[in-house]
Amino acid sequence: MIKYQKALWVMIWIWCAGMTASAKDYPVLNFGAKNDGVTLNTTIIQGAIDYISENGGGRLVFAPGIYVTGSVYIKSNVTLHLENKAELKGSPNPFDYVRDGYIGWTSLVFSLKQENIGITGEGTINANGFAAATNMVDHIHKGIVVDALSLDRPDATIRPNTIYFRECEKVNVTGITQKDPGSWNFVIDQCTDVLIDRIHIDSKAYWNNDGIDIVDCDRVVIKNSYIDASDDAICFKSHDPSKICQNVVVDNCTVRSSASGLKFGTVNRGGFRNITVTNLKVIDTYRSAITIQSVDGGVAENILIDGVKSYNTANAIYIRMGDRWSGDKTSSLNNVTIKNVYAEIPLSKPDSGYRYEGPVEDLPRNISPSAIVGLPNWRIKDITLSNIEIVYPGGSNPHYAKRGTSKEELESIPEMHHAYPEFSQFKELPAWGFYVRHADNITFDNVVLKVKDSDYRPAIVIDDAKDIELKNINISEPESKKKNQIILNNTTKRKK
Amino acid sequence: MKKYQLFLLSVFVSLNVSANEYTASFFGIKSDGITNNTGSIQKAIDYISEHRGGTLVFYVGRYLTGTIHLKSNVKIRLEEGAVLVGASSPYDYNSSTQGARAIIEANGQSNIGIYGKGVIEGSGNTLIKNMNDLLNAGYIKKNSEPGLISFTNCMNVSLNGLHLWNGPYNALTLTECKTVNLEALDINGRNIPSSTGIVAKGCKWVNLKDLFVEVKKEPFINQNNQFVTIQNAITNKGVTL
Repeated sequence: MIKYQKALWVMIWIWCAGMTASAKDYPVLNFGAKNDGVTLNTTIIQGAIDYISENGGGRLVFAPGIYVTGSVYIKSNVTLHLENKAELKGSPNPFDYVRDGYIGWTSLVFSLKQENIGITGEGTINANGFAAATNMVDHIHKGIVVDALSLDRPDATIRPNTIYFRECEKVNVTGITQKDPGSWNFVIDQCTDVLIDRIHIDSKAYWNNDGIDIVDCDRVVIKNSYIDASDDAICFKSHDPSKICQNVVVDNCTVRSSASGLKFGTVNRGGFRNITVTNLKVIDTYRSAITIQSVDGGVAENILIDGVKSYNTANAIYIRMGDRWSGDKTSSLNNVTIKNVYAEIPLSKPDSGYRYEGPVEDLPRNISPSAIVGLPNWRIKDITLSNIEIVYPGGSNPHYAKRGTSKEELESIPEMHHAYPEFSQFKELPAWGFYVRHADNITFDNVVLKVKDSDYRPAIVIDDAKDIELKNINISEPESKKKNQIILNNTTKRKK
Repeated sequence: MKKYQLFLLSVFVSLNVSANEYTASFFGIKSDGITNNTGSIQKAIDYISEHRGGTLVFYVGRYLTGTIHLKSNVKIRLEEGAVLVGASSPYDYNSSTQGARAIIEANGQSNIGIYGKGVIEGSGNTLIKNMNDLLNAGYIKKNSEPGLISFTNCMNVSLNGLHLWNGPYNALTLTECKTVNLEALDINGRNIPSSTGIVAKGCKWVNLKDLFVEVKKEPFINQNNQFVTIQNAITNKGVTL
């Protein structure tokens, strides 16, 4: 795994070095753009990009100032370079944006089937998405635009993303700040050789706002970045059953989300493979710090997550296999290693006070445990958890929604084959620390589970699992001397 | 039953009539002279064309725009005090044909018109300067020269009552159009060295009536047209077109 990771980095450095060496700079002001925060520069920026692409490539340089624009397309061998205090700002007018017919989404910056493209510098892309989205709402009410206005908002595909790159090769996005999209923020879809370094994302101006979506890409590095999103922060997806999202390294990132911090899914039609995430920090996140989901007939395999610190986040780990949109295919989820994790779970709502908080659901009930949950016939396999410490608030109240640990009670927990996967989907679970079901060859090695206040439930419940290994499990709970903290039902331990 | 049908018919007719006229503000078009309205005006034209046609009305204000493409059965009315201002960058002009670019462009459309006492303002000298800067830098190639209005292969075209001011090149270009009525137009480009009046090529049935043209180049280029009638159309020098 380490060897492979190094090779990927070397490869990306080589083409990055090649790109900067040949770059010629073109100030966008020379093309007649205005940095006054008022003039709409769409056609000028596009004209400049087209010229640079047709004349050997280079950087289109934005000096400090605010450049208002609608949708623009980056072309091959062009990098948008935003200097410090330069802001590319989305027009508030939804009719200044393109909903790309091939991609099926709206975005401020597009690139489609190009190579050697980038956005660099210390400047900002401000998608100004709240204005475009709410102006679109007015047009829908008047009947100028036809839309179902589901949940009182325009469809996600007619609100602008900040950046959507599709089928591009050699993509370099470094240094910039991306903020305030009206929909998803930064989508990289079926691209290869992607470097994302030192970016700052503030994506909470509207609903559905993800941070980064890596969709069916090959060879991607994301590092040294900060992502604050009202929906999932770093999100791997696989939209195309014939594609796979693979060979990705994420290192040294901090994330905040009113959904999940690091998410594999929800859409996983093809799969996720060979993905390494190191040195991840998760804060104030409403759902899971780490969630790996395979519910649409895709694979999820060879995933290493090493070094996670999670504070004020509702759940540490949720691994789920299901049968949501699988069709004729069988989902799979195996060979995942998660190690060196420290997580603190709060009693209160982790994202309270943020714009577009996650929706409160099915309360009152007690805090959810981390969980690994497959289906009776579709089993999660080969999961290793080592050097994990999770601190829970405890203090559960059995009068809310008690879930006991008798055989009957455990087996009465619904399977929810077709449900949307979420750590909270089963509502009350019978453990306070870890719950495992329908999973084989699962290893817990040096796992510390602490609860601050005593909980009516045991720490660990494992139901219907084969070849389980529990090594160096350290459980601490106040006033619980005689309590049986590990309940196994229909479960076999691995033979030495 | 008959009464009911009649009632329905009258409802439809009245709906049709009232839906015929749309104010610019309905589509979010801004009159501040700063907001570039290209996207909104185009959306308005497309919407009206797709909804059985009608008139898009601009009241007092300066409406900045790049090229907009007029569609069948859509008319634009510029009320007194309304100024449709062409954007100052040549990148804001395009054409749906290989032909002339303009602020208002149409290709292959029928039943179109622009009328009222308002102004179409070409920002001619600024646009020419910006274009020359880009040409000198090599960033753009010599392209067709942007004008105020250019219609190609259109039928039933009418322009009435407008002030067509400060066009950088041709105020009005008509290429292979049929049944064109131009009436009470004030075309003025007196401060722009390259300003040209009306250019009509390969058209049939063109009526010019009560026109006043003051430009630096040709006031009227009349090539390969059939059935052109001219009635009280003069230049600033008092010469009939």
